Amino acid sequence: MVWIIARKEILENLNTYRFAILSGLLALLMGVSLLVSYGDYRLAQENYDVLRPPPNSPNLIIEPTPNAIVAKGLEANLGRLYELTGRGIEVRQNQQSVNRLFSLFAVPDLLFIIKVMLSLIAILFAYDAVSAEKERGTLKLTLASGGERASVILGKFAGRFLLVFVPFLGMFLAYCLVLSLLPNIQLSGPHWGRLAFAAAAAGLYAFIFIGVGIAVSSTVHRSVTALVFSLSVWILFVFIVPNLGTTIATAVSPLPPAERVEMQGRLASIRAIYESIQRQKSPQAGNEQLRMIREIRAANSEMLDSYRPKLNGLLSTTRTLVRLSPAGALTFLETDIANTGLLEEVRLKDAVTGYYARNFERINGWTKEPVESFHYDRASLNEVLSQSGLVDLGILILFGGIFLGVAFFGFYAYDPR
Amino acid sequence: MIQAIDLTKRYEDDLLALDRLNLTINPSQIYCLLGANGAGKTTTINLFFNFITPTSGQALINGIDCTKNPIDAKKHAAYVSENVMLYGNFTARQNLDFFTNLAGRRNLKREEYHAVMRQVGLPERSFEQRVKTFSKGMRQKLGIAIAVLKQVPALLLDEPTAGLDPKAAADFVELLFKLRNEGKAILMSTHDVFRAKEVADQVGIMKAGVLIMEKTREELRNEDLEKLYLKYMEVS
Repeated sequence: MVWIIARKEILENLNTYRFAILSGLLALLMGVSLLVSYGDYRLAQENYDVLRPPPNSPNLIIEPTPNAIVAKGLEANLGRLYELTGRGIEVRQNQQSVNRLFSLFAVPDLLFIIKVMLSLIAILFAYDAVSAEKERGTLKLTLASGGERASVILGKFAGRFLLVFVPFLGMFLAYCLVLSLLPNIQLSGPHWGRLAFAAAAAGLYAFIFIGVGIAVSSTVHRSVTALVFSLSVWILFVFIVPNLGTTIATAVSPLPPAERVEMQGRLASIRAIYESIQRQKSPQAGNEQLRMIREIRAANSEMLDSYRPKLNGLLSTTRTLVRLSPAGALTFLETDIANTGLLEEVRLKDAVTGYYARNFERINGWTKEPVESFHYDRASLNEVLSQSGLVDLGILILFGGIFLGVAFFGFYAYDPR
Repeated sequence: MIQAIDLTKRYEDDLLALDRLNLTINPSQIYCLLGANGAGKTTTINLFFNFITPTSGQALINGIDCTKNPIDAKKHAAYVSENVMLYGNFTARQNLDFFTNLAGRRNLKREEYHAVMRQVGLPERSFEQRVKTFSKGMRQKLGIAIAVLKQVPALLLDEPTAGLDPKAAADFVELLFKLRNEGKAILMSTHDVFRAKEVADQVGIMKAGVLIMEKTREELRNEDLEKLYLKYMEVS
């Protein structure tokens, strides 16, 4: 019986303006996104080609990933040049900015489309699933004809979900196909695995917002009311909770700005240099340059040792609070899958600081050995899942279950008259 | 058989919509519930389909308790409302297909649907037309077709002739007789006294949730039902 209801839901909505317009807009937006994000990727690749240091250079930069086309995340940060000197690690911020025009607007990568547009479409397809049937009077006949309440609500879930997700999946496949055919893009097996996982996460996310719409529709009696409530929940989840979460996290776990920390590092260096010059004037002066470098390193290490726990605390609080929204959990999941998320940034920083520690003496020329060549692999899908991905996936499943449950129990007590 | 035993419904706002209703409708019998708006006619039908739950008493269809086993009970009853609402984007046949599938009858052929639609008097050209273009009378007929195709022993009709033009109403009455002759137990709520006298084997008059009078066709043969109805409405 679930399939009978689901089939009816699909057929009833398939030849409507709502379906045609929303699907058309989604396709258009995905096309634009591909164009813009591919342009960004090409620019990032060109930047990389220009800035790529020669082998055994103490300067580090990692190659842009085509996954950033799908979820841009922190790719702009990840693609920065790290200059390793005796004074410490300096991050170059003044690279060519990618796609200045679109930086004026929200970045329309695929993750943005999924997070905002797909969820909105899901809401618009689900808010009237029950209430409109009550208003039209078809719900009574459906239930009187033998429709079991559990089957009716599950059928509505299945039908409306397929109505939203199948066209999206088709567009997603077309998107991936075009992406794979673009110049300078080579999608390997793992890339396709990540794309498949990203699509599955998007499906789960769409299911949650279908759940929001149907849950609201199963508890109110007018479609207009259902639309207002559903959109309110959507705004709360997609915009308010993630933004408020980061604001609260900053207040709960305060962290000095990175620029200030870098400035403090420079000041420590200048102080050490100044003191070194003063000491060199003294007749008791020894190897003051060595002493100076050690002082700078000690000051930087001290600063880093106090900064990293605070940073980790902030990241942890942010993750916890933002995960109270499915949009937050999805953003973490999709960016981590695409290797452009927080997980990757922390990994890269660890790799760079580890490399710096291992090569400190070589960078300063204290030994004749050349510096190691820097080799960095972005996190594998397994690593992403074991580190944080499964938690985010679990949160999305939990949200889906909650709204399915609310819809189920709401409809069970629903007065169809 | 349709049966109500001390069926009572009191709403949350303490309104007593139905007070200890007792009635029995046997196979091949049409029972008309007469009453003004708010008398409890629709509440009675809503209780049989478990749209609302009774405060006390029982609603039974073929001996199955409609509150305890609503799914089983609904397998034995069909419902036609005052204003049959269907899926406007579907054709008449697609609507029939959906509702009969829900009722557990699958894989019916297109011709079988067409035959039932012919039986209820729908014009041939409307079979594959979208229902949103249908008049109220056509929708009522399609509602009856859904009920007929369900092939159940009990029919509960809530003001089914309200708003129908005379020809459509006459066609409908003819169809009711046919269904009665097939052995269906039919409960029809109406406030149309003339229609009730025309079709009913038994008539019940309700007022403020109470069944205040019940008479058979034989008992009504020498009485003016309209006068009787007005008298009960005034006196009780």
